[in-house]
Amino acid sequence: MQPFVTLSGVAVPLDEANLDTNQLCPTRFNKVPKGPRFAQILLHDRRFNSDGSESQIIFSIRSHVVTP
Amino acid sequence: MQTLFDKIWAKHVVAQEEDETLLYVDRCLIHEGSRHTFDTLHEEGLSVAHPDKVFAFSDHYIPTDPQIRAQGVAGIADPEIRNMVQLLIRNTDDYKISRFGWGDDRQGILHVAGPELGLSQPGIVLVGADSHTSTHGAFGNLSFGIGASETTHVVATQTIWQRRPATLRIKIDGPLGFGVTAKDIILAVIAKIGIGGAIGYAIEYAGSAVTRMTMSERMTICNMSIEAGAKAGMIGPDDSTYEFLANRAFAPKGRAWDEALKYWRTLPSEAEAHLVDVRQLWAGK
Repeated sequence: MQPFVTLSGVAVPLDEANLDTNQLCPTRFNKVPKGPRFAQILLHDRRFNSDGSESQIIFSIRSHVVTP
Repeated sequence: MQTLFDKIWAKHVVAQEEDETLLYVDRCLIHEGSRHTFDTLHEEGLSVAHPDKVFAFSDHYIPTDPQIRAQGVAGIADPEIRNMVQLLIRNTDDYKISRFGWGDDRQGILHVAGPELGLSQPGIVLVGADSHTSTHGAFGNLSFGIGASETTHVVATQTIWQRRPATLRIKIDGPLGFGVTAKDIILAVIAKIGIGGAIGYAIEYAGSAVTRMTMSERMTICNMSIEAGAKAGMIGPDDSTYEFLANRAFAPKGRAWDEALKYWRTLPSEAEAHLVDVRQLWAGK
């Protein structure tokens, strides 16, 4: 087993109190089989508008996104 | 002077590192949602340390409709739900874990079926892959819910790292008022201390109202502990606890029962045991 040392990725700060970690994968998606659909589930309800387009709030404010 | 919590904690410490304790786990309860645990075991090439201490219940995705149940697992129309039920069957077969699932009379909600099977015994540390695992604390043990990655650690090592919670005793005295149920009592407790009022605490419920409660009522009280943010809810074991457990499938039998009973009777908090916080309520109001 490889020891966990470093994880590199994109960090998206959510500047708010009492973060609801259930938003990472909203409960209704818990039964989705492992695979490519997982990428669309991450923070789903915070990411997408009702018309299916991606919200500008979380992932598109470049100044808040810290790339490794 | 020790509390019920102190006694159980002390008996389960395996190692201590800074402010975290490695605790031995007596029972681990899982359900269909625990599939990621098995994916990780498989990917890391790990085995289940004690398959006889892990118990799987099909209760989160299994249909409740008797007509659908009669058709067997293949009768589940939604392929994603069917997959969840099938995965539990396959994973528990692969890792030789006891399963209470489809077609088994003992199948039920894990927090109800566990006590019915006599798995929830005084003095043990029980963890479950569900937030309401605190329910089992009604039987005088330390029970709490854990996440998917913690479940992997538990089934692979039979231990879990924990920060020791503080203890909070809530005393509920007096006869229950007309029409007052256990659910009303715990809702009144939560209303009083707030939905975050017990964060960082293991609650011990005591007092004459609790002593008179049936095991089902005690389970209701402990079940809701987490709605106040508590790590666990627990009630000192007494004759009601022992009567409920006697002759259950997984309860000790014969001489082992006598020895267990002798040990269980040493568990309740000593009267003067120091608790961080004591709060009192009157059951009638």
